[in-house]
Amino acid sequence: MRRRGFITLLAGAAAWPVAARAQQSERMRRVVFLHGLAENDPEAQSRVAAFREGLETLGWIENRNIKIEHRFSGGDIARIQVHTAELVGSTPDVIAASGTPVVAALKQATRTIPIVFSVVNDPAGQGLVANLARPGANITGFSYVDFPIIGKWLEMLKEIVPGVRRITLMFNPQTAPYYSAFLREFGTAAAPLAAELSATPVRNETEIEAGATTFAREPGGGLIAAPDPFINTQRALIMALAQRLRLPALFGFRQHVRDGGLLSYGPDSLEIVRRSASYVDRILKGEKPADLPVQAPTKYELAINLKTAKALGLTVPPTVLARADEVIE
Amino acid sequence: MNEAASDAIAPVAEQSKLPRLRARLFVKYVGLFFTVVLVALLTSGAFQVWFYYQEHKASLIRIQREQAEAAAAKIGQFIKEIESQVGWTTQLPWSAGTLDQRRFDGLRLLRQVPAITELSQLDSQGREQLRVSRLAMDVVGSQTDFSKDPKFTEAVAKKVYYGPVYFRRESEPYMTLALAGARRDAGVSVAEVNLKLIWDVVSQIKVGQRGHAYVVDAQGRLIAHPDISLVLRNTDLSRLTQVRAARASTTGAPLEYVQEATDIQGRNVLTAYAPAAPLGWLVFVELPFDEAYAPLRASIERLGLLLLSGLLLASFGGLFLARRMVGPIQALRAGAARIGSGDLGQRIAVKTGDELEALADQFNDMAGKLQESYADLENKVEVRTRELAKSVRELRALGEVSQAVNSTLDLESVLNTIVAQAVQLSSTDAGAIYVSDEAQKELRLRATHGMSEAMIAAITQRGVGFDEATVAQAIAQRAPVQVADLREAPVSPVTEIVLGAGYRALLVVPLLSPDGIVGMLVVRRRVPGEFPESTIDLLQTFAAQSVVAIENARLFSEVEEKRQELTIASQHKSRFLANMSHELRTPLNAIIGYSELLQEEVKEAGQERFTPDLRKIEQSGRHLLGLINDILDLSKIEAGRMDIFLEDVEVAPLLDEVRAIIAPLAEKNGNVLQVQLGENLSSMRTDRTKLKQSLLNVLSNGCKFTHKGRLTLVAERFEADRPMVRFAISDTGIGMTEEQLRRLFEAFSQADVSTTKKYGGTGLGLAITRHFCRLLGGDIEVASRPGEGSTFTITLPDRIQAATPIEPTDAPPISGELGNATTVLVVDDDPAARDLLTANLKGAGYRLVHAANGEQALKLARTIRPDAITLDVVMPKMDGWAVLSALKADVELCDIPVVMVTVLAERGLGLSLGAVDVLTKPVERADLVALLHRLLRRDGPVLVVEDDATTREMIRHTIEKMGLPMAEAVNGRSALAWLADNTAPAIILLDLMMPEMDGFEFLDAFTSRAQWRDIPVIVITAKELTTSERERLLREAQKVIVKGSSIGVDIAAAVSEAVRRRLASAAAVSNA
Repeated sequence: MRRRGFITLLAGAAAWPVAARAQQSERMRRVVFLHGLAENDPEAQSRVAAFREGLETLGWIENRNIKIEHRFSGGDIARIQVHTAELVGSTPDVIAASGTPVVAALKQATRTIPIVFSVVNDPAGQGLVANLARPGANITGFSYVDFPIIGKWLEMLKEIVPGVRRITLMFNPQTAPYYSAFLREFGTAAAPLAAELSATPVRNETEIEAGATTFAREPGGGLIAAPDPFINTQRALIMALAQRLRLPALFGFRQHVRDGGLLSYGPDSLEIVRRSASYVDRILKGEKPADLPVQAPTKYELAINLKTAKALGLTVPPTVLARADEVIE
Repeated sequence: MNEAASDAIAPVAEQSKLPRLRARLFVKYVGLFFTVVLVALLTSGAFQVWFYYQEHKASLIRIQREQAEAAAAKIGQFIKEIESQVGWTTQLPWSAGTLDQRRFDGLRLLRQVPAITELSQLDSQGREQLRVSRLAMDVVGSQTDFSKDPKFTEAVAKKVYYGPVYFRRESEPYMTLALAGARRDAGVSVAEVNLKLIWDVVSQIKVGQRGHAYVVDAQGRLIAHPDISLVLRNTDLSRLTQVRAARASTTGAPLEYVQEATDIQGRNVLTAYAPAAPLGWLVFVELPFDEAYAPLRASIERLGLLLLSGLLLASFGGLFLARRMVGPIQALRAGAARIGSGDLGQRIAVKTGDELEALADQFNDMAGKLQESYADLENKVEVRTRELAKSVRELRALGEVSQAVNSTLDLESVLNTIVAQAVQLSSTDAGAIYVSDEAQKELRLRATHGMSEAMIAAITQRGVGFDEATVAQAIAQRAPVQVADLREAPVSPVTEIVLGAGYRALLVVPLLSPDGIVGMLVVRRRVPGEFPESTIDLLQTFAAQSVVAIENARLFSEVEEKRQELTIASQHKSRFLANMSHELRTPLNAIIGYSELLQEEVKEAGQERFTPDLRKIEQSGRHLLGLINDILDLSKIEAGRMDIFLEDVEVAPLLDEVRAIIAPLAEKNGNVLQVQLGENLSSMRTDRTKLKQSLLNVLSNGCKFTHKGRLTLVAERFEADRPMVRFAISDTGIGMTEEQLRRLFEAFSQADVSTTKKYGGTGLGLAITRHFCRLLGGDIEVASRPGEGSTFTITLPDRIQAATPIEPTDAPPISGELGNATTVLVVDDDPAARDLLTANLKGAGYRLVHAANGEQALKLARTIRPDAITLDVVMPKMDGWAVLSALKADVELCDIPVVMVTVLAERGLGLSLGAVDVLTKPVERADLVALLHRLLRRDGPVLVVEDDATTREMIRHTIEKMGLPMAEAVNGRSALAWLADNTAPAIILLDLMMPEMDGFEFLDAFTSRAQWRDIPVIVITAKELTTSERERLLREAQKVIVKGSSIGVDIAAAVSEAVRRRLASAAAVSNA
């Protein structure tokens, strides 16, 4: 009898540290998400939700084994800097980031904290990663669009608005540091389109309004809103302007079309954010960002807002319609 | 009993082995059971596992292969799908359809096939006419020439072209798919396929739980993988063994076996592959080892668990069963051990209903029987022990009694012991032993035990006669008689006493001797009843012991009486001998003496015709004397009372004497006697008388048995272990035969009866001679041949080491040195005094010798034996008194008269010390001379003190012959009277055995008188003197002459000696 009790005790004692270790491995992880968008931006919230979902499918339940904190920059480079400093100082386990300027800022701030980006354009070209196959440092993630896509955009715009002769790219140089590459492509593509291409850099709302207004004075203009956080954040303004100025505008995000943008062609940002959670998971499980290659989107979707088109007096050719993945009536 | 003891030891030894032994069987059973189950389980388990493993492996192989093939098929399908989609675009010939149309088709294709990123259409010459792109701007009519490009040429040739996998931006895998239209002029549609989208297909391929499939191109680069990051990393798997093997093997045929390899991460996996045929890709299916073999492991674990639980069960089962089996065996063993150790009370309880129970029953039976027999044995042993104890007691008692009987002759104590033991051992209350008095026909009470004084007195007073009832019966039957109850027995006075004292039962045991009884042993008991047989036997034994004791006592007292009678007889005999010798010898001396005398007178008177008769008388007398002497000698020898008196004997003079005595005898038979003396014979220390007697004896024998022959006496010294002297007497006589030699030394035997008649003799001589020789430390031997004579050899030690021999004083040696002069030794340390004395004495005509001190004086006194000594008193070292004492103490010097010459007036002291006179210095010459004169005058008669007249006559004859006057006294008293009335005699011849006052008494009185002290006394006696007597005489007399056959000669010699000196001194004095 005594022997049995002793054995039980022994077994219990052995089990104790195992349990303790288990407990320890269950400690709360901390992930922070730095958004380029504004907090009140539905897009941003969608991204938040998407991120959470993505983590949940991989077993990371918020507030059970992971804490997720979000910071929103609202396209403001200064705020980006502030948040960057703060987040890096708080040494989370992983920093998720969306928006190219955000990641650029983060890159400057830390070389050790793993950073998983989503919705970043041309990470290799921007110097955020060494190369796409092997990022090499602490930054990896899911990219958005490549620059040749601008040719596509131009093409689509020309198809929907056959009369367009002047196309301008509206961007914030601060939040779209890659704009020069864009412009280069712009230049290459514009030739067969027989269109005149221009750049409209804006830094604030005033400049947006001014730039758009100036551009819209001449007819036959088309606007391409660069997929940078500032522009994203100001999309309502731009859409309003586009509508008022009867300016056909192309956006980079499908959600924008739902919100009233004329058309968009690009990958699904939410899907990308969702997918970026997998990298967060893998990093939390011990993998290194340096070994995780940057993943490019596989699907590109065309979305057209017919209402906006009608409002602009545009008729969308059925071939385009046939190609559209989403048509907003 | 011994067995029990050893059995007791054995179980103890067993006990120590017990735990081990017990454990052995139990453990054996448990172990056996356990082992059996273990082996069974193990073997079955092992078999199971083995077969399962084989089957599992086979099924794994099968599954893996199928999965690989399925995966490959899926991949192929994917591509085929794309192909067929692309195929639509090749339907239209170039001529037909507008570019727009084509563009639209292309866009639609893009929409339908998300994998295609770009579609370009080449015309039949290979020029690009249209390019529709998902990512870039569509290009129309670029006319880029791809006619040399394999995607055109191959497509045209083979209808379909699968380009190699390439990576865009080093990250995305793409493949070129070119399809040629069915029609010749359809041209080629080229699609760039984004292989990332194969990921969907590959990630959905289910390979077990954690297995997966992946696709590798012909070069070994990873094309598709569930973890797309691996693909995007452009992973090269060409180095994996399975990839290598797959590439190495002949294409098309999937592997026959499933390989075990490591995957990209290095984990061990089970892998199979199948080629995706047209593409040249390899589709791998990997299953991690642990998953692949999980079932196997699970199975083994199950087996292990089963084994363990089985073993546990087996253990418990084994324990249980073993205990059940071993239990009864242990019970049996314990029971046997108990029985073995002597505990027979318990029974083994085994109720298993089988052979063990039967065995237990047998054991119990055995234990029961053993118990019975032990009990029986113990009883018997007890009984025996009791009997033994009783016997031991009795034996011990007997032993004590025997000891008592043997150790003491005190009859009383012995009988008391006996009766006490008898009473104790017979468990009676009292007992008694009576000794019979045959004369009175009654029994006397000698020992009692437990009887009251009153009872003892009563019985003693009453007396127990032989006619007492029980006594008479016992005597008649010569057997013990018992009375069980005195009350019922016939009444007698004794029984009344006994009853009165409270005794009811009586046992009477007669003490039997062969011809009667010596007494009775009686034991009494207060309790009536028979006496057991054993008691009666015991008492008979005691009775026998008592008889022995009584007999012993009687014998002892008889012996004692006899001893005393013997002692008295012996004393009588001694006295007889002593008296007889005197009584016998005296008349014989007369016979011999007178016959000698007569012979002389006859000769003188010329009547020689009477001589022969007289001679016969003399011879007969001598013969008889010889006989008597011999008999007395022999009896003294045999009584052991023959003493030897040692003295220095001059051998030559002795032999002269012997020759003188024998010569006549030899002449008688016409024999010649020759005496030969050896060298250095000088003197020997022995008993002169006995030696002489022996020699005379042998010589006379020789003379007797030799006629006209020769007798030779040879005396010589020789060395044996000590100096010896041999006297060899040989004769040329008749010799002796062997028979005669043998009987030679026996007393009273001569050669034969006739010899006695012929030769005479007593027959005792040689026996005595031999005794004498042996007494003197030597022996006599004889050698003889009949007809040739005999030789007797007497061998004596030169010096006997005998016990305290008496050393008789020699007669003052006749030293011829000093001639006839009277010698006076003057002792004085003062030379002047010495000279003075010398001058005084020289004038008196004495010869003087000087000594300056005591030692010198004694030395000189011994050597020169002066006739007188003058002794100064005051001398250094040894003064005169000391010298005087020494002189008087020395037997040889004590008779020399000593005159003390001293300045001290110590007359009394001097006289008491033995000085004849004490003169004071300065000495008057005249006084000294007168004194000496007086001392040394030996005028006067010879006083003969002898009671026997004939002896007196004889002596008178001798002395008158010497011309000396003689006086006579018949006994001591008259001698003293004569002395008192007459002047001092020159010498006194003293007999010892005289009536009224014998010689000793006379001497006592005589020597007490100073004036007679210097008269020399010669003792003549026939008495056998004891040692002490002799001693005494020698102290007081000059010489002792034993009356013997040569007494006359002896006396003459002794007297003439003394007289000579007297003569010499008288002459000297008269000359002065």
